[in-house]
Amino acid sequence: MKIVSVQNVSKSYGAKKVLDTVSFDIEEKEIFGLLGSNGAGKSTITSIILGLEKPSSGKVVLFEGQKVNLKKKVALVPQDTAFYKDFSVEKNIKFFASVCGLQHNKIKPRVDFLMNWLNLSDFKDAKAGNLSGGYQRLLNIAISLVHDPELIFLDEPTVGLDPKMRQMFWVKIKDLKEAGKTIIITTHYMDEAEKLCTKLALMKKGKLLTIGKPIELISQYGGIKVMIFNIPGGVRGEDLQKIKSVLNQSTIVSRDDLLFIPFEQEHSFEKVIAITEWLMKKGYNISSSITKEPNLEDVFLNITGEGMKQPE
Amino acid sequence: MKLIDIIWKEISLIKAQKIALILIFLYPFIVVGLLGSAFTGVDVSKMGQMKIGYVNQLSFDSEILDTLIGNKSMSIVEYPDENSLRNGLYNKTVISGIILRGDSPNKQLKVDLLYDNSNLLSSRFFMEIAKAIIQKTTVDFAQQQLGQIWSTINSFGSNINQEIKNVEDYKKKLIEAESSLNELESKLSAIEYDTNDVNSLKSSYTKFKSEYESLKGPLLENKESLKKLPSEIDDISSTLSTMANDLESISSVLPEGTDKAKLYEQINRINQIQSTMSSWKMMSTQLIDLTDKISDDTSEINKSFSKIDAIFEKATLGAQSISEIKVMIAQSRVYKSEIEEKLNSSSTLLTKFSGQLVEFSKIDPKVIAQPVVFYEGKIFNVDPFGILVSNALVVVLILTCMLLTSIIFIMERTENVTLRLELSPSSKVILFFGKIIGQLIIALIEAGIIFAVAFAKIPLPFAIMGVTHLGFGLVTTANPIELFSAIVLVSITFICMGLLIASFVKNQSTAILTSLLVIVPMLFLSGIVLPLEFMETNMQLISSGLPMTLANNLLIGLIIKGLSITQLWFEASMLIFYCVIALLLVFLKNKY
Repeated sequence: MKIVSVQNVSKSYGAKKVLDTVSFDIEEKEIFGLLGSNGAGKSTITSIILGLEKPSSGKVVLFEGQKVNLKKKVALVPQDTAFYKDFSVEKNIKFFASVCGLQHNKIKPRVDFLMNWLNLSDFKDAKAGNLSGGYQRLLNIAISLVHDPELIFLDEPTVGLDPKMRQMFWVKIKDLKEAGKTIIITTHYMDEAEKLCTKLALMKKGKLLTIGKPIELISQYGGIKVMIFNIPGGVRGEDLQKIKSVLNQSTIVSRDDLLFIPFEQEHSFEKVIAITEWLMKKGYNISSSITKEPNLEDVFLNITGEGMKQPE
Repeated sequence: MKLIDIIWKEISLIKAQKIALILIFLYPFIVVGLLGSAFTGVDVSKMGQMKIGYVNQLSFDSEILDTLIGNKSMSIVEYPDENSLRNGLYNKTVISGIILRGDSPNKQLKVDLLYDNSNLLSSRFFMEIAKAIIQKTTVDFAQQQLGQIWSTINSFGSNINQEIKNVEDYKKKLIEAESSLNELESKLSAIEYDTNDVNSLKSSYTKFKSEYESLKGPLLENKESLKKLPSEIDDISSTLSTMANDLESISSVLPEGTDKAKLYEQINRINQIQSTMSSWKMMSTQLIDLTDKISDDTSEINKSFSKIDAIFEKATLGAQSISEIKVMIAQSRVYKSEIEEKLNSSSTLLTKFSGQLVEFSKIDPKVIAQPVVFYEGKIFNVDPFGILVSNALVVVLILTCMLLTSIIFIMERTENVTLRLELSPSSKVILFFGKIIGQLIIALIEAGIIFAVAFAKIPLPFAIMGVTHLGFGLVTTANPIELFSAIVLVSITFICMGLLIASFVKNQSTAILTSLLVIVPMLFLSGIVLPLEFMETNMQLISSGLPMTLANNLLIGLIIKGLSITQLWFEASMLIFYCVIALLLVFLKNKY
């Protein structure tokens, strides 16, 4: 069942077009990733889906065919914390449970469940503003999910979190998927998108560049494996030219101490081994070498020509 | 260097707050401008004209009243009676009231001064001004009266001195004139003769003179003949003697028997004639003597005639003179009458002066010393502290409601809670009402604290710095439900204004600055700090429409004046209007 259907949505602010005929569908229980650099239009399309803004043209259909109170079915987990910092953790969750229309007798069980699920029980009486950044993010999620929504927007959910906390977040997101929730994630983190999302949409300057499952996008746009040698001092220009001519491959790049050799040809691996030996004979000290598989980063790079943010 | 960097950092942070920056630079202009307007009353000439109501209960001296009416600082509005005046004060048509009870300038003027004690300063202040003006006017008037009295007395004094001299002179002159006149009159009486007699005498004299002249000529002409007459008479007599002798001779000769009687008769007759002739001769001799004497006396007679003519001439002149003197005497009598008239005037003047002095004596010296006695009256029977309660309520409510609401609204927005609330299933109306009611409860608690302090009067076991009671024990006739409703209305208005401010600013510091920018000028223009009447008329009009002024008037109306909220419909409606407008703008701005 289509939970979200974005149909030819455009949005302009005066003469500036920030969304240009964007269309995509999100199915039930999907984790849909919206990828794009700053200014790509992720926030705008999210706002339009949430009903915070109106599209200049096109339309968005949520829960197609169902007559529902959308606000009871949809939740946003904003990137920045959104709660009362002077309230305790429990009071915050209870307040928003009430605002979201939970029946009085259901508030406490729901609050307790969320605090347990998000490991906040130990801090239930602590002032929200005194929590660490990670726990504040968890409280943010708890508050957003207090009314048990079906469609959840996660805006950059792991920005600024340490790796341990990121892992924990991912687990929780997967839990939500398991619980049958449909999730839309906007993120800069390719690894996060690759690991979590079941479908991805790549955006650039208000346009939807491509959409698909991560593996499909990688296979389609990810490119080839690349052998990367770490050679202190780098490769001299004439040697680089020789490698390029031998392999007949202009895409070989030397950047600082690194030498990138894509596996573009048959028997590339054997050829690379031969070049390695040649380099060593030439007196180069190869301190390390790795083979990089294509990933979403490459997909993004290849499609947009822009680099993406690396995880910390 | 580090210090300079820190200083520059501070300035840069302020610079980054653009609205705050604008406000910071606007503050001096706005505050100085508004305070300047609020303080226009420092220059009384720029102050809106005071409207003072008056009731002239008795026939009060119109001159004083005209002076009061003519005073440029006041606009005098006449009311037929005290009740109408009190209504005028209730409705703020006039700022203070005067009831004039004096009925004549000779009595002390009794003035009831009524002031609107629902305003701590203004009415009382203007009443004092009115009092001062009345005092000044009446004292001026008294001084003027006194001046007039002195001037009249001085004038009378100098006039009377002169008059006394004049009178003395007149008297002397009159006495002299009178005696002269009497003397003249007696003299004239003595020489008075009848002109007709003189004329008759003169005509007799003239006739006599002409007869004399007519006799004198023939007499003198026959004088020689007359002189010859004795001798002629002697001749005739001798002749006659001869004749008688002859006749006697004849008789002797005549025969006897002849009738000689006739002869003898003739002889006797001739003897008689002779005797007559002798007497004639004697008479003619006397006549000659007389003629001679007359001839001799003619020059003397002529001289006498001349003298008599001169006398007649003088008599004629004397008669003319007497006539002239009589005219003069008559004229003198006219003068006398005039003098008498003047003397009568003097007498009248003195009588008038005497009367005036009597009138002056009727003036109570107290009137001059203190022409007006003032009696002060408040139109509302309340403790002045009630005004402070109203003012305190308004100030506290505006600070609490507007500042807190705007700060919390901004805080919610900056902490992204607004976004979360917006996405929640709760309607905007519920969210707004929840917010407003929450703020309202705080406001009501604040109001409750103020009322507790104001209304309570709990005795302390011992005095602390002279304070023997807790609370002020204020008494009000306000209906508690209406008072509660008014506080709710005022609070909600200020809360809505806080929401409005928060809708247009981005952060808390700007919200505070903007709130203060709204509150501070309103505080000065609301009549709480400075009376509205101190301001120019246009500024008063603007001020009277400000929410803080309206709130203050509403609460004063209820707490002090004991009015019902329906009587304060204008203030209540205007506050509701502000609420609606503010909420409308907030919804249009769509920041929730």
